[in-house]
Amino acid sequence: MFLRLDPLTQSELWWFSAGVVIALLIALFVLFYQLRVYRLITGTPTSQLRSAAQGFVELEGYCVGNAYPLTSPYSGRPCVWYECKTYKKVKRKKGHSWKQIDRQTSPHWFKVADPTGEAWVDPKGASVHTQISKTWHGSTSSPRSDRGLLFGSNYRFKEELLIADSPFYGLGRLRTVNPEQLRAMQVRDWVKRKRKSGPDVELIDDKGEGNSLFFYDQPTLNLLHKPLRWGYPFILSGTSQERTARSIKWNVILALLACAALTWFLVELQYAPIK
Amino acid sequence: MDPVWIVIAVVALLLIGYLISIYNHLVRLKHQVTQSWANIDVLLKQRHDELPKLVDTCKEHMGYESETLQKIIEARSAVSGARESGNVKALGAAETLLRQSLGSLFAVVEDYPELRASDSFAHLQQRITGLENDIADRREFYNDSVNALNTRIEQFPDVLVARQFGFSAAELLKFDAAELKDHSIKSLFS
Repeated sequence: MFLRLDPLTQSELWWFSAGVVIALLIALFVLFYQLRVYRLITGTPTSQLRSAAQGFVELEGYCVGNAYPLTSPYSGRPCVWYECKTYKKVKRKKGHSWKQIDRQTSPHWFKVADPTGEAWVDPKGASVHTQISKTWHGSTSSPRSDRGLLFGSNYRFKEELLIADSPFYGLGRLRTVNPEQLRAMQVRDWVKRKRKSGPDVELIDDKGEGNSLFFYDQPTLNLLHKPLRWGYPFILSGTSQERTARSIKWNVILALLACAALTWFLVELQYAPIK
Repeated sequence: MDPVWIVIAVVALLLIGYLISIYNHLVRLKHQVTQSWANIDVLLKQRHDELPKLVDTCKEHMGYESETLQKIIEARSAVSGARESGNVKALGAAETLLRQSLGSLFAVVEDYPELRASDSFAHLQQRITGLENDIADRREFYNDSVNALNTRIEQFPDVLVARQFGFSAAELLKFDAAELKDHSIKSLFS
């Protein structure tokens, strides 16, 4: 129709069409999932922490801090949550691309508050929307080295942060946990992290500087964490509800555009000349 | 395959998916209202159980305030009746009455130092006041849930699905204006 495709064999046409159909189904799934998330954000009433029910809730307030002061491993900036990524430049035939070689996400709980109360947030498994995002380049894999001015920018670093006193918006499962449940959770978490990192790596909790020791003698507390039921998102955001909803709305629009583009390509394939 | 059929199939998939997503969202909103009502109901039941203890404690010391205590008992019954029948409007009115009666009781207690000093009274007063605050918070949450549902079922295109599947508007839980009106400082000192 509009594209000038090279002649294809019958089997090539079949495989291409099958690939596009699968991509289209994935795009449709993403579209409806994002639409559902958008509706959950706009349709879930905001709970007050003082009287929040147990279960799937929406919270709005501000970030307070962690059990112990936390800084970003890349820039050293104080924060309550971070995600840092390093990409390495890979040369291609035409130009170059960036390959991710390191990713560090904060596993530490942080405290949030609203005018009526406080809650802790376990950020594991969350989709985090931050307002503070920084990208810079360097010539070595160390994020604190030169800025790539002397030896070329072979590495790219990206850092996203949630900082204290910034707005907080959360959508997830809230439950009140007692000290025994807390201890069990902390031990499970520690064992999982130890298994992942290996016996030789010393975790922050080994030295008693992390969450485990801090929470050991804590009374009952509210904890926001990932919902157990499938289809319920876990969103943490450093912006307001409106801005978070707007960013999800853009995902919906992009998925819809992807569906339209894939449909168009599928139609174009039907007009491709056959060898 | 005919390209026209491909376009029709994709548009049909989008349309069906969209209608399903609207329906599922309306179902979720409806259950959200039910759940937030249940959250209030739990607290109302707890307060219902605490009020007779408060009245009994007060009776021992407040022989001349039987009218105030009687009003609390009547309002408690009215709240209980409205709660059991799920009548949100009646509950709002009964709740206003109960809050006013309790307010009068706690004001009158100032004249009975023995009662004020009693541990059991202090405990019950604290417990009931705490429950009332929680009810007020959850009422706000319930009304937000109702607003979300009522807005959705009137908006296009959700209204089409809502009408087809019989989704109806829920009622807001309102407390009477008398309870909410500001008191004039001037009149208190005149």
